[in-house]
Amino acid sequence: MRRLKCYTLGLNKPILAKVTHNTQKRKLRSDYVLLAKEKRLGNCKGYQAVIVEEARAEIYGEKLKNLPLIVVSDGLDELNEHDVVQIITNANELLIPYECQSPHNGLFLTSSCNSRCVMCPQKPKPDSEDRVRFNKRLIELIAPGPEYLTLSGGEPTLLGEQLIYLIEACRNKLPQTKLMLLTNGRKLKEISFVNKLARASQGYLAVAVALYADTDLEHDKIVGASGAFEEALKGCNNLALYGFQIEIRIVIMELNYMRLPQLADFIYRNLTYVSHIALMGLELQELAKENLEKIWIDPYQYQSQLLEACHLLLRRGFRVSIYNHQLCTIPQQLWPLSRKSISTWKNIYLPICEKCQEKPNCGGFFTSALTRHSEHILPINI
Amino acid sequence: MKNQKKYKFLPFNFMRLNGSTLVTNMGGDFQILSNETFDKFINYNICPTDSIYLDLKAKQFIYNNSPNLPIQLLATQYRTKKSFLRNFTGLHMVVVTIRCNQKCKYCQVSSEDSDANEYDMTPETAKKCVDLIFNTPSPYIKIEFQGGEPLLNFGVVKYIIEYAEEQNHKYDKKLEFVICTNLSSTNEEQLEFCKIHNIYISTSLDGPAKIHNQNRIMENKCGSYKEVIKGLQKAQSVLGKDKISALMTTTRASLGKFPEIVDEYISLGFNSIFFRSLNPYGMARKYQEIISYTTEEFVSSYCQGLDYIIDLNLEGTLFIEEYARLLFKRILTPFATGFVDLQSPTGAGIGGAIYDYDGRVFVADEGRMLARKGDTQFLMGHVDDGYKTLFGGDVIRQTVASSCVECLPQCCDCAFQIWCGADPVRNYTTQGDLIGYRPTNEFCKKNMALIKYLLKKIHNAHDEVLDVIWSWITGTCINLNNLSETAENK
Amino acid sequence: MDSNNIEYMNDGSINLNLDVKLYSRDAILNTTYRFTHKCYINLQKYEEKTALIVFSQKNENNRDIELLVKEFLNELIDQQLRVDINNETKDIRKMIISEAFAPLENINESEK
Repeated sequence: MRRLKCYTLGLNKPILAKVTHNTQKRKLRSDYVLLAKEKRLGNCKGYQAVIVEEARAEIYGEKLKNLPLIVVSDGLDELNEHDVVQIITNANELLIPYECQSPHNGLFLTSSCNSRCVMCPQKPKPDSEDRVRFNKRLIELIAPGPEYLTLSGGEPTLLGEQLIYLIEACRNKLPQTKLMLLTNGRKLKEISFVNKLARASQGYLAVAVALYADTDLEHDKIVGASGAFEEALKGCNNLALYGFQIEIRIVIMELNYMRLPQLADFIYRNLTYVSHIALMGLELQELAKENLEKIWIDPYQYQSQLLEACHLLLRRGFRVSIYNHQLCTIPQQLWPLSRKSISTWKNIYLPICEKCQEKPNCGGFFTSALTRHSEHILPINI
Repeated sequence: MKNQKKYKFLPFNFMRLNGSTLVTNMGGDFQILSNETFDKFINYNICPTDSIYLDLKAKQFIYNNSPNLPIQLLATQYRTKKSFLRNFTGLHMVVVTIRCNQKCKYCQVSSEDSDANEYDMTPETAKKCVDLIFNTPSPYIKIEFQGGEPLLNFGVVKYIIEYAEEQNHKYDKKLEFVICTNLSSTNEEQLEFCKIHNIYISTSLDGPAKIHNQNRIMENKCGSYKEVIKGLQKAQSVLGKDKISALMTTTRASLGKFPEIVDEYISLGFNSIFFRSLNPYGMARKYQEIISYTTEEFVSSYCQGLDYIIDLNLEGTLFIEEYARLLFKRILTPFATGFVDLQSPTGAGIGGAIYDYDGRVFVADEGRMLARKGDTQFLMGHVDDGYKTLFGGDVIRQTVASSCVECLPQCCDCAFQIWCGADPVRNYTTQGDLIGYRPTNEFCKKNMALIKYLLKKIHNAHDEVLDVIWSWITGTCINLNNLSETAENK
Repeated sequence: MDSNNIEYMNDGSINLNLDVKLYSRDAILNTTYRFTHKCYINLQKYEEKTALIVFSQKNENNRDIELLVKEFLNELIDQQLRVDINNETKDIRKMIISEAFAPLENINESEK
């Protein structure tokens, strides 16, 4: 998520609150932090804190009594009304777990995972805080909520009953929000759990299951867990039995690009009920960065496999999207399938991209592409 | 001595093709292997590092550890392929009269002259038919009016449609009507009725005048082409082109002329054709020599016609050959296809049933021709007998039990098994028993040849040809060079 | 005798002795089914070591059966392979079919 550098004055407990630029009614103020841009500062009693830019820190500092001050050095303009911010005590970072203007909002449910995918951009680890309580509060703060919200991790299904509890909370507080659960599907082999998911979500939950190969030999190797392929497929079948809308997500890497068309055919033959298939580029963080040499493939090298897989899927009536790719690396015919899928805050372009007329339509790069990116990045000027 | 096994087999059938070997499994998936690779495969000599190893594993031909997952995947595929069984009888063909105003050379019905009213179904029998039909557990009912020429007894057609619609308020089935008519006696009133009740018309057109008129003849001995075209244009203008389809029957006169027939269909506004071979049974003997032909002759005409249609599609004309569409769908998709004449177990009785004008119910059309000659093999009973007696009776049971390609001699290890079906009625009329004898069975010979041809088409197809084939299957044409439009349509 | 052997008889028929270690009864019967419309086939005995099959002509041309016996032997190889495959896979085939037609039990269990 987006982060801003900051320091705090008078902060003695963590903050989780909505940002406001305007004066709020007294009894609602405990949900807010006030973003003070004006020279004059009215009565701020009741807010969790006040955020100011560095230049004004001294002026305000004296006026505020018993109210924590958050001083942000740079990027305050990026905070919008009703964005949610978080500060962990003693931290010098302002986290922004929810951005109103972003199409990519989600709840980060857990850092832990039961797989260890070779290209994971976020190394699994045990949670150091109570993520469920945090997310429950976040759900209350973002109400009435965005159109779409992803539930991600880690592996969210590991929360078990608590995931059900959070989905119920979403249904109650955010009745108009469509949820998308990102999962490796393994826990969903338990049909009783899928049954509970279905009851809790009442048709408002789509599920995106990660599948990386058409055999257990390759899939299990990629995700670092034996039996994972079988469990994921069982999970998909269980989801289909309960009428879930199902998406398959395929991350393309050196270890699986050769058989993309065969994987596409496998999905058609075995997971016929899938409604959408996303073919995704690598994000080179953490495990992916450690395993770079093992997983890296220049997208330019798999153009023919990507084209064939997409063609095969489209013929068979699937919706297909390409995520995390630059237009100059994929065949031009597939440009209409490319989506701007990278969260705004970590979406970058290279200097050379400034000369490209397709830049507004291009998915661009993860910031991590500075580690490595395709050797075929070229401005497009038709 | 066998090597130490690198993998184990899952159930599969194989067939030698020209220079290669086809393997198919219970889910209907397939792989064409070179003979050399096939030998390696069956001798357990394919290595996990070969890409063909992963192909065979992903398609569930082999497994190496536990068979649990392959069993689950194949079971789901098999269930999907056999899902047509879930609904029971959905197609109900009602013969409202066996009178006809035409005397077509290949007609099996030995129809009566158009003024012989004693061969009409009565409203009482019609009511019983409808009551019986609504007993089916199928959520989908298609009532198809056949004859003779059903419109010669339009009163009963009208009665059945109105009564069925009234009954359907109670049952809430997906109800559809088709009138199979030669269109040569259709009047405005009938067409207006069809329009109001959203009825489909299936007519017969064998091609351009010189072909059609050789086969399909009016009572006055003149060809019926002019009358049919007049009726067709009237029907198209009242009902819209999408409500009317046509059937063509191949006779000796049409052999080698399928492209001309296709052109005729296109010029008349049809977007599909079904190249249908003659069913020699019941046909007047004096015509048999003049109009019939060998299976080989039909197949070669069919292939020529299909190639012509595919070329038309490549040039931008959307036009479908229905039998190829059916078989392509069986070969290339995991789904079931409802087609009563090529199903395992057979669709006779459990997929479709036919109600004769006198209230007798048969598992298939040929059944009533046999019955006229005194052989009641396929007579399920009479509408008076009630649903359970008819549809739970011995005739339907015996017919179905003898029609599972999974257990019929030679079919049981045929690589086309999962795509094909049995026709016990045809076996009975041509070979004397329900099981039949495959090595000399013309039905088998025809389907084998057609499926082989379609497989070759798929195997050698360019991307553009595959686009055509898939557009037939899904009804949507994907143009890779213009995806933005396709994507927006979704 | 441990290999297959063809004898030409005076009456024009052909005796084919088959090693039953190579060919099972099922494979022989399946193959026979595919040839009975072309010639007369008499499966005379199927014993511990050999099977004896007598081919005789249905029409005039005797050279036909010579060719037919050769084709028969070729076909027999594929038929034996089918029997072997079936033996290896028949249990799994049964499991697939019973799994295919009994799928929804576990849903009901979880609803309880």
